[in-house]
Amino acid sequence: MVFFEKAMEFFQGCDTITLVGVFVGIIGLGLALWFVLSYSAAHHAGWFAGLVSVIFLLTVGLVAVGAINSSTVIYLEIALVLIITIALFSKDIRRDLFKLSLDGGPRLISEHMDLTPEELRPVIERIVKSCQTLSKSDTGALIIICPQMIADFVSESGTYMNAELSSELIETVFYEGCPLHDGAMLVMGNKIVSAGCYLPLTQKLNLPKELGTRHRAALGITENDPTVTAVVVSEETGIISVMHDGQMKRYMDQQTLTKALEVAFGIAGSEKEFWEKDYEIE
Amino acid sequence: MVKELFIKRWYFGLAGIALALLLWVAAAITA
Repeated sequence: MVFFEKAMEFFQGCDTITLVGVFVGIIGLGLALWFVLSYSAAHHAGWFAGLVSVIFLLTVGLVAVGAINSSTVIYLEIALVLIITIALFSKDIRRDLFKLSLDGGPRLISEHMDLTPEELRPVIERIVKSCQTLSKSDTGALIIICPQMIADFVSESGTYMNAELSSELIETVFYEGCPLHDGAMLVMGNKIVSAGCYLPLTQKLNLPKELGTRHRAALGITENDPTVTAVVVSEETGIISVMHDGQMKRYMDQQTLTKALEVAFGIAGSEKEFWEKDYEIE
Repeated sequence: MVKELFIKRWYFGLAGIALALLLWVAAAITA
């Protein structure tokens, strides 16, 4: 019962401010550990959660036997764990913060250039028509539908076009002799913003073998920016796939592709309803 | 997102508070 005597002694001996400090410290450290443990567990890094738990249990042990008697060591340890967590998961944290900011707050550029559903429907028809033509001739294509401005490093990596979207133009850009065919085309509203853009590739290892770099790039950008939807026409098989937020739907026909694009342009159905019916590639 | 990431994993919060409490207890014993 040494502990209780010590604890009573501590509580009697200290003032309100110290007590509040202890309380805030315990809650603060608890919340920090909650963040570190759940964040690493959610992002497939259970080993890191385990490592942090072991480190803190070791610290408790060392403090209990009196090997550590300076609070500075503990503060340093907590700071180090937080810094390592942020460094390890910087990409995920940035993405999650971005996703969180989508739930509210002002946006710099209005979604789909403020076009009405009536104005957007012909755009969808043109994209569907060109994808079908490209699919029939086994021509590879990668179209990114951006509701808002996409990251600069993507839009500036290609050639700026700012052209009215037409199926002929899409087919021309992805024609194999065209210098811009080997990159992504960015579409905002009824405009082709740029073409031949480079995208970050997904790092997922268990993608089916038949999916090449084009599919990896499309998945990569949807993982980085959860607002965009990517449409990919396979060069080998002519299969049309649609991707959004790290998820993928393959074998799209005219009807399903139209539905996917209507969801992407926000004119029919909800993203959640459309995408949650499918599997996620882990 | 907050719900998916953190509230669904409430047990980690519990574990975090428990670890922090344990640390303070250990410090209180040796003080």
